[in-house]
Amino acid sequence: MAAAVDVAAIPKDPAAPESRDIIESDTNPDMADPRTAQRVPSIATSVSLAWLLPGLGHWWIGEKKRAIIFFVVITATFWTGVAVGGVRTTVTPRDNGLWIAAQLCAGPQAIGALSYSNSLASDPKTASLYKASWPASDIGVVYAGVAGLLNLLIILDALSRTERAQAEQNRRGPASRGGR
Amino acid sequence: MLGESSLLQQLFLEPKTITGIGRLLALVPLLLSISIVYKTIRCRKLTSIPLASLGLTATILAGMLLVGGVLLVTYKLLA
Repeated sequence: MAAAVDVAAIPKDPAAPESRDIIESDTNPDMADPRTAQRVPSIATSVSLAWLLPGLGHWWIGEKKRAIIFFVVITATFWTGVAVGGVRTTVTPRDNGLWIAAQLCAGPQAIGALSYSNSLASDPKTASLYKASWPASDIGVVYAGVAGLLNLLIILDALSRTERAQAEQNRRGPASRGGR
Repeated sequence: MLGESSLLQQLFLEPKTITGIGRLLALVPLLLSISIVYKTIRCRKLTSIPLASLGLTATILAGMLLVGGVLLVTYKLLA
């Protein structure tokens, strides 16, 4: 019969790789704000914020520079697509099939564009106007769709970083936790 | 105000015409966006993002051009 071992009492090998080595971006040298570093972030909040505005989830967990990069790139890519294909052709569920699902991952800006596109389509004066021809139509749809899919990736990254921050806080113990 | 509205209308309402080499060049900004987002997620230090993104963009572009070239040659040979 094996003897019970107190795992907590085993000294930690400083040379042993930790789970943080799996992803090289795990360490967070940009988390400069000590107030952000102290609080325990909520997964639901960071994911919701990441969808509401690209990069806002990272901003909330303290990765402010990454957040700015994500916001600029996703917004620029999405609206470049809309500019190339025109909102009427680019953001519409009627012609683009499942691409609209990808585009909606870009957040409320995609919903706004979809709403505007639908209002143009339902208006008899503009229903037949502003239709892009190939290849601009395809390029616009792909740009906006890829922007949405990239934002989905960013949301997953925010989720992962939040989980890691929670685990780190739990490892440190309740004594080191600070409130918001 | 009216001028701004007209400019926005022209920018996001009226589709652009893309022909010739513009179809191929439209790929570059998209690849750059993908590379920047990927490298921003992966890179530990933010200062390494620009160079890493450019490298990834060049790699993907070269790969896609290579695949396109091979497919074109195959098509010509089979035609």
